[in-house]
Amino acid sequence: MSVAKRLPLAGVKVADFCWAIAGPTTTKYLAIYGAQVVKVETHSRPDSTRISPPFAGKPSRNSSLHFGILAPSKLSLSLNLKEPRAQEIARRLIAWADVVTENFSVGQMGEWGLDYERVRAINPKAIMLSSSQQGQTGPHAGHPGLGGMLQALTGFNHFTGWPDREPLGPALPLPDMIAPWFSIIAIIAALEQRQRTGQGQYIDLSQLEAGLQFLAPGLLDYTVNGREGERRGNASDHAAPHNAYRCQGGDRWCAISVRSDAEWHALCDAIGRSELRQDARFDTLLKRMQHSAALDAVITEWTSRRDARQVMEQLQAAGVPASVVANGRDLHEDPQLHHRGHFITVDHQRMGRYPVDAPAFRISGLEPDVRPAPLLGEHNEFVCRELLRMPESEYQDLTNAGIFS
Amino acid sequence: MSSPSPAATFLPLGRYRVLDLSDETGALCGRLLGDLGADVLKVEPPGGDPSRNRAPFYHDEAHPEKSLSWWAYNCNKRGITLDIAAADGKVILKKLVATAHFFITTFPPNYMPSLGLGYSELAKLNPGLIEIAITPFGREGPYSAYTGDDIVAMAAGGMMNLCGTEDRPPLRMGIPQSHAFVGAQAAVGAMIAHAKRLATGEGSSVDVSMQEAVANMLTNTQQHWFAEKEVEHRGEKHLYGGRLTRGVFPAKDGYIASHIFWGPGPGGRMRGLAQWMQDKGFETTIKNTDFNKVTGGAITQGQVDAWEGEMAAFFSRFTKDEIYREALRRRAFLFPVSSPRDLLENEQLKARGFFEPVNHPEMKADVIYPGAFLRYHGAAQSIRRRPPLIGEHNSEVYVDELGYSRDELICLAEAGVI
Repeated sequence: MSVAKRLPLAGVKVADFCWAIAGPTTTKYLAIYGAQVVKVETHSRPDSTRISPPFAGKPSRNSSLHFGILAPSKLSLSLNLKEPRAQEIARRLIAWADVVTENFSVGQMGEWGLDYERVRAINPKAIMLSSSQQGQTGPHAGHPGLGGMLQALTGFNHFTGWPDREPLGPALPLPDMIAPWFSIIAIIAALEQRQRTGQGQYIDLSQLEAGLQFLAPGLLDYTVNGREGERRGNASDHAAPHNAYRCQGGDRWCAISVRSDAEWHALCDAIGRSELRQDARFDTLLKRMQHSAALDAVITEWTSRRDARQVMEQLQAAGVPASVVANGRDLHEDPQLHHRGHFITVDHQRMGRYPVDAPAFRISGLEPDVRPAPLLGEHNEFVCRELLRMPESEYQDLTNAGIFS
Repeated sequence: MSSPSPAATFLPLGRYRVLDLSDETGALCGRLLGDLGADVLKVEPPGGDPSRNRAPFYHDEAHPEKSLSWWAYNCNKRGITLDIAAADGKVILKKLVATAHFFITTFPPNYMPSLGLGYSELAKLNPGLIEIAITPFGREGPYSAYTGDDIVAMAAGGMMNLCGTEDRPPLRMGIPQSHAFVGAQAAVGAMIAHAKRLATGEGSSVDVSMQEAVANMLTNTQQHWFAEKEVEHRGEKHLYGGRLTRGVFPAKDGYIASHIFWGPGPGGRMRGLAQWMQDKGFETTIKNTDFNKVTGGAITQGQVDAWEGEMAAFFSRFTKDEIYREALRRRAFLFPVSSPRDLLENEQLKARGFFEPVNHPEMKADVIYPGAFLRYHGAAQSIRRRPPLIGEHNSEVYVDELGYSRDELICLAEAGVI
């Protein structure tokens, strides 16, 4: 606890009603930088990531590694919020908290009597985040869908893919991974403002609107130029070669990008083909753009007989931008990520040792406090007795009544 | 709260100043701090930030004052030009640093120290300063000298491997995403360092890696390898309950996102579509199947493919808009693969007033921008300033604020310092 006291968010209390990915990623960052995050969840409908693979050992509600990386350093309070007495405990937790977070379907918190109007009545200084697919207001608020589908609605797939094939996108719920960054900065900014003014705050984050920030250049191309955008494979406006190139050993690839004559000359020399500098198909950028297919063939001839990481390191040593197309194994074996301590190992009472991904930033003089994810309901007694100051008899009574289920 | 109110924009960072020396990899970081109210000074080299030369351009006119990519991420900033390598440039930068709170750079790791402007030097002038240094792989370590652009970062962080078809190379996403990924996460680092400063008064140097920012956009790729020694594969079809399934289907005028669901709970998501098929008199086995009772182990890949074939045949009769309207009415799990036009016409975004006109007097035009990234109490974080012209605020900053004379400014301009 002495370490935790020095963390920047030490003393910030979070009543965390989040589940799945977007919300929990937000509160993960609050937790590892010192906030006391009480995750409210239930046995009756477990957080979807608690029951999704991969598992460490036997699948159970306490062995999902996906949950493991989303919930480090949090406390778990299991409450069956369908029960009025459980809702009453939730209200006491809200009264205790500085920050209230949730990312349920629009209207769900209201059904439990925990919407912002009532949160504000209980705790006017609370800062509440509601993160939802399309926002709390408007005619489509509450339309059901999954993150991967919202990725399509946002338009990521429209711009991604091969011109002669259907739209593609990364196989993950991208808006869920975008929303947290906006949520975190909004909460920290609101906390500071509250310190000055005593003012509470309600934050309505639409994952659609957050995701659209990442497509702004394409949207402006439409509003200004009327251009609808298109799928262009790996083509670039200003670089050739610019692609992923096949390397030795199955599905192995190295991305290479050449943006200038200098990088082109460096590439020619690095692959032992200095004569290509004078090749009339490739001796200017415009010609390289025009003959990119021929260029890809020349480069593949060299890369396909080499190991992907060797290609990366050899080209980078020559000053050519290049990288292994990293898969899960490459990330674990990446010397740079290793140097940065990207994988922070924690020791979990059921899962054993597992790695949690570090943030993308290192702040001087500050290490995040990354501790194992909680078991479901692990901190019921601590939260009720220590944080909410509940008498022993009441806690026992609630336990017997099945409120913590 | 029930409807967006015209309440004043909430500007919690209104008392802070940001010096933003970044290119396209850091622009969103400064933009977000500006959206929250900070006074962001974009400090560009004389002639302008090189990333002003990124397409698309206003009316396709390739000109540094007309880059839409640059506009997109440089609203809510003022702009000055400065050669920080020149002796006078260093003096000016140090004066600005003395009163600044955040300092964003995207230079190669050793560049600022080589100019005598490393964090330890700057912190002597301003111990509370937060430096945010964005580089492709991080400032230290075996790859720290490596260069990289978007495709390299998307490869190094693992996103490309999850995107594409099995028979072709891994794919980059269509609009450079690593810049947005790292810009947004750099803003998180900046705000956590800011919380530290509020608690202790101490500044920080924040070292941000594009590779790591991309890796932190994956969901559980790393854990799949850790637990199962399994490498995920890209493809049009994705594993769902042990079977390969589609996520995208053709409609009459484009594509839609849909999915087949089964099992207790998720199976219920098929009801809206099944009912719609039935209402249309469409011949299908889907409407007679209780997907809540279907289990992955009990059905073959062939059965999944057959159901998806029926879905595809049904969807191909309708436009994206017709499908989404029915989906909204029936709470069915169907979405369009939106084009920009679809988004501008999207009823939800219209109702929330998401898109904002921003006046560009030089173009004699209002330009429609994507608006706020979130709302506080119903008040959106609106665009208060269009992106700056090159050196637009030189006089405001150098003369009015720092006290240089007009003659000195002319001298610095002629010498190429500003």
